[in-house]
Amino acid sequence: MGLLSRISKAQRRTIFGRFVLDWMPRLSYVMVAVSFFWLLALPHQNYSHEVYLSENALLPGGANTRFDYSDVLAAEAYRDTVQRISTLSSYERAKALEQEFAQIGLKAATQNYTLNTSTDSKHGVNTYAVFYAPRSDGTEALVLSASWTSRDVTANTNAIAALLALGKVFKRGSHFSKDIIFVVSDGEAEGLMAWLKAYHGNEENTKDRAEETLHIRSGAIQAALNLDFAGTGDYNGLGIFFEGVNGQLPNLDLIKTVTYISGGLALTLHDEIVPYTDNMTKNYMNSLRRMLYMMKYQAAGTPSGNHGLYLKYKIDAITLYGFNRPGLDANRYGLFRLGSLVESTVRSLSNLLEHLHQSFFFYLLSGIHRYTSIGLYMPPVIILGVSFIFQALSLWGESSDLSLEVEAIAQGKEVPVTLPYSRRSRSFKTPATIVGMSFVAGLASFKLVKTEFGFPGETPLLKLVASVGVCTMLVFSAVSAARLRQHLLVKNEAEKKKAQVNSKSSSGEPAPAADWIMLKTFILALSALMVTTLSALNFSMAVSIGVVIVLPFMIFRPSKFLILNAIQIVILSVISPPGLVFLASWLYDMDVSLVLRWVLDGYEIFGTWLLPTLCCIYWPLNIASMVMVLMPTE
Amino acid sequence: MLQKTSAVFAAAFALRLALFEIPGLTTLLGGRVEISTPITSFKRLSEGVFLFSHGVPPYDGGVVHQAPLLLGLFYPIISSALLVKLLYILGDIFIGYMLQEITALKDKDSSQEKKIRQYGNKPEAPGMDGLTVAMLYLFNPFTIVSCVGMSTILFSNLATVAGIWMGMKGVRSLAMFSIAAASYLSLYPSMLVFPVVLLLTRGVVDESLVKKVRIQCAGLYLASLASLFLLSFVLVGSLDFFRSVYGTILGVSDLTPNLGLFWYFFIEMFDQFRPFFIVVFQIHVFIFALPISIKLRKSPLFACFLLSAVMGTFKGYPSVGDAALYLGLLPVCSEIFKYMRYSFLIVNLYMYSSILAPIFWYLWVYLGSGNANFFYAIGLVYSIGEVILLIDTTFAHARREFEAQSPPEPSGGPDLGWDRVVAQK
Repeated sequence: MGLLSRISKAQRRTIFGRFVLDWMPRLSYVMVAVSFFWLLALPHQNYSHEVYLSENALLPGGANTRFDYSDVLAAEAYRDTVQRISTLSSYERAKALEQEFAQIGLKAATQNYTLNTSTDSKHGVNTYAVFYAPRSDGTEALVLSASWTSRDVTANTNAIAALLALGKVFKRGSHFSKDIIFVVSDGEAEGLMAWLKAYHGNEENTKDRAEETLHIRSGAIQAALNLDFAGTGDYNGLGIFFEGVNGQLPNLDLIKTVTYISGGLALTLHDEIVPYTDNMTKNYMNSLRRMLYMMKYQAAGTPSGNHGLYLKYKIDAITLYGFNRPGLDANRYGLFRLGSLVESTVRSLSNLLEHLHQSFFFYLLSGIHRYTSIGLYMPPVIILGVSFIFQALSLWGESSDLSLEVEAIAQGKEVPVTLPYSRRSRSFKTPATIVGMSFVAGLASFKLVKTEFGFPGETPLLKLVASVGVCTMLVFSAVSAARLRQHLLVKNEAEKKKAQVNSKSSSGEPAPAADWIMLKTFILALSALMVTTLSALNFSMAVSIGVVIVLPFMIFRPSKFLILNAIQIVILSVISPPGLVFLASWLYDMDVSLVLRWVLDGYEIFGTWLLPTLCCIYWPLNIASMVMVLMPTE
Repeated sequence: MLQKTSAVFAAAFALRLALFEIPGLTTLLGGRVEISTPITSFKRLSEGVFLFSHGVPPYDGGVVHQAPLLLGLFYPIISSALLVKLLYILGDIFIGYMLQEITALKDKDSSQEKKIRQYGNKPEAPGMDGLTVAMLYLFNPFTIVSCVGMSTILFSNLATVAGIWMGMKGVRSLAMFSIAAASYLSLYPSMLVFPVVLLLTRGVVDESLVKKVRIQCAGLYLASLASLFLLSFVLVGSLDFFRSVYGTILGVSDLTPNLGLFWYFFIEMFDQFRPFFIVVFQIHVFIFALPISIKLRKSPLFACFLLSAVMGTFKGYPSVGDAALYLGLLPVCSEIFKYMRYSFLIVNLYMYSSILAPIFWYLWVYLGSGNANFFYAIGLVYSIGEVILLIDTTFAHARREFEAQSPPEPSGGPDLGWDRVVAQK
């Protein structure tokens, strides 16, 4: 019995060894394939559900709107006024608007702000007015906002006119249980940013940013609508933008409320009208495009409109955007329809008994009516992370006795009893030092890129080149140190062998595992950590990083052929952050320095995580892989 | 060697001093629920000191849950930020020093023992030296953030390690006093009385002498504890602190979220079941003390590690400072490392939980898109990591004992050193 069980133990050991050493890497590639296909299947109709309203208190469309023809006339009059003052200086037009709001009977005020980024200095004046709801106790508020500059980079005339007209309408009614704040912000995003900061009592007065304290306040903001109706004409399309800073999303109920109310007015996602067809392939491609559009904003972390800034303060918000596309009926949405839509939405939001919380915060939209829930889109990222871990575990097994043991069993030498420990020495110091140094280099390049040194001719591009220099130097020094170490080890080994031959005794120690195996284990484990933890914060960013690095990081290993190593290094440098910057500039046909400036602005104005993530987490792993590829094979 | 030692300690000192100087870092770390709990928060301690210095009974308001002598310790120095920082830094560094000394004493002990023969008839390689052990404690991120976040768990850890050190040295009175001080500060270290008494009696063969030492130790422990309580009573002038300090530790009345297993459970619980489950949960912590001490009476140092890991896992208000203590004690028993099977898994679990805990906290508290389940789930992952560490180290220790009892036959071929020929006997 004893012998039998021992023999079967050897067989079991072989099976286990084969599984870890041979099948686990293969399995991990299968998992990558599964994950990729799963991701591609997500936009398909069968994997999304109809968006439904979860919060019954909203009662969307239940109210009779008050916005009527006389209000349209008033709005048109305001439109002329706004058009007239839009050419004035920031201060003057803000003051003029303040007066308009005051004439309606709302409490109005202005706010100054200054923001100095490393590349630019921005100054402006916001106007805001509060409608104190007659039946409220002033503890809760809703916000209607519009910025002076539309996303088309023209004046946002219709939106501001609509705000003024709506102020007049609200003033007539007594239905509201929440105060309504009207904000007309200067600039693109920085104005609303300054206003929100000051509203929440975080105003600063430093060298880089100064925000004036607000003089009029209301309660906690529950939800916000940002209007973006450029120009003075009518629109043939109405789109919803909802992606916030760092991929945050508003509660799905907010989007559903607006779509529900709009009813006949066919709303779309973003700024493209996607007609429904019976052609499955076409539908799928449309959904895929919409989803990719959304994921692009999420991954970059920049908001797709000013609504994104509210999300930082736990306020659900979307932007309504009016646009004209050729090939569709013109004049579908004039001020009347837009005004009613916004009024009805505000009435609905005013019904809220508590903060929007019922519906989803994590979703992907493949169309305005279809969502994919987190339960369906999270698994592929987790599978991707597990495939990294499988590779790492397999390498961990390779660096232990397991490979030698399996070989011994296969040769039928003896029936081995497995040792309770690995006799091969694993060196943790070398890989840990290399990984640690790469992280320091990444952090240094992040500091380098974001700091303003103030010497003449300083551009972001120059600083990027400098940080590339730092990282390259690190790679070279690490590689040469590793080669030197290997050289010394080989020399030592040779001396030991000589000594052994002389003394005729054998140490019986198997050779220690190669350094690159340990380093690759480290890199793979850290990549899994990065991808899975990021996915909790920003799914799209995690997916894009994971998809880019998964195959290179898993396949690449030092090779004896120089040409293979060279190819690997080229691919790694293409997917390194500087490589990605150049790739983006080529793809969008933009100047490299413009791309860099866009990234820097995102970090400095919105506080997006793209730059820190790329520099401090993504780049170090890339550097470490480069070192790994260039390391000696034995 | 001396040079290297001083370099390591100087680097640890400089690193902490530099981190203390980063503006806002202390407040940020001190506000993290993973680092400071209601019973170890420096903010609450300062509140207590403030109340105390203004003649208001500090334990009336239900804010302060720290021991009175800690208030007394900080009362004269709290106005000087530098002195407070120095106290923390030096406390941490002293723990590192004591760990180094403990390792040295243990090496001396084991040099007299019979060496375990390994495969290929080789003696077991020596474990980590004291300096490495000290370094692993001093540069452990958990230790650093706990120190810079000014969690008062540091003083409890200091007393615990001092108790073990004195136990190794065989100084009965100081060992018992230190363990009493640790129990006084955070109650749970009272479990360590058993392994420390075992430390004091190690190598003693005479049964009656052992008995005598045990009785003496029990007396010393109780006397020190009583004197500490008496001193506290003299300091604050009332016995309110019993309810506020030990009542909170045992009754878990402040349900601020932390990495532990209690808060979520007791938020959900109906009041009539609370006392029962409190008793069950607390018994679960203490129940390990005797069995572990009996089973591991031959290796009391490992028992000390195991019990502090049990404390750090199952207590009501665990923080990373507790992990710093047992992770600092673990390398002292470094000879078991190579028998561990799940080290890869354990390291990964610790990494994932320490990165995901702040992220899920952020999703829950700041963004509002997550909820309490997210954070508690990560607390569970962290606890699973700790439990697997407990299981794996216990297994590794047992495996090594087995190796010692039945050493392998040295007949394996020269290049097949990992083989053990199984002869049918």
